[in-house]
Amino acid sequence: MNLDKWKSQIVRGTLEYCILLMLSRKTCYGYEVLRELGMYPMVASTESTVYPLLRRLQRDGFLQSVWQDSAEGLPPRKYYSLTPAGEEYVKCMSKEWDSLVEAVSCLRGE
Amino acid sequence: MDARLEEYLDKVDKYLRPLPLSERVDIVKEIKSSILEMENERLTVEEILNRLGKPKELAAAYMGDLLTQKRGFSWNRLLLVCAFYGLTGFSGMFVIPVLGIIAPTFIFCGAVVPIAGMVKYVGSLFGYDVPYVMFQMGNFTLSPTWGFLWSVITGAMLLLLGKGSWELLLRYIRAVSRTKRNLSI
Repeated sequence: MNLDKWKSQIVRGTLEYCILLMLSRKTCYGYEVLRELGMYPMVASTESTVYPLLRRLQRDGFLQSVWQDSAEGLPPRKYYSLTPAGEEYVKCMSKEWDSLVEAVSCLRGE
Repeated sequence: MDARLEEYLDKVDKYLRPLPLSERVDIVKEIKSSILEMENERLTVEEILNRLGKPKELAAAYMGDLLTQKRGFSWNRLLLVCAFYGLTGFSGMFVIPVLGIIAPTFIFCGAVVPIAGMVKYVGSLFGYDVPYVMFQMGNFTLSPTWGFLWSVITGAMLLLLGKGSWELLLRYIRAVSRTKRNLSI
């Protein structure tokens, strides 16, 4: 269906922003990011999209990560947080996002 | 952890082989950590495998932008490698043999000349004129005493020249191998 294609395109463009927003509020480990995204059906994703994306963001210098090796039966977890460059990036993205939302609401005649 | 899950991780690792080992280890560790989290949430092995998808596709997701990135500058790289081998090939043809020959020759001469001068000098002290050794500058022949002094100076200069050429040779070879390492494909 055409709508699904359109939806997946939107999600693909937005996922990066969603993840960075999440990490700008708090430090998260990979699975935690997946779980939180899972709360919103529109952006719910799996390992194969989110983990490579996290790696790329780290390689581009927007994220930093640290392994925390298992405590009391918990699996080892890799915690991600924003670097200063990442914070700057989210700020710029938010600005763009605002102007997109504004454009859409204007076009809808609101 | 279930054997099927172990096997799954092995397969992912195998498909990730084009990546450096340290990165591969990190990726597999992160996927494994996800599997353990899912097990803690009481998901069945089938559900976990289903969610992760085929090992090949999961590995490909990590390498997706790596491949395009490589393709992006492969032409430049090829040119760079050609230029490197062309330059070192040509310069090496002259630099290595020339320096390789003159360095030991200079050092050898630097040692022999003062010895010859000393032999001549010692011989003259005993009133004996050693044949085959003489110090001649144009038409002028140096006396054994001045000749000895002169031979020491010449010897020192030759030794320095030889040592300098040797250093140059080593530096050239080191620079070539360093550049090659940085270029490694």
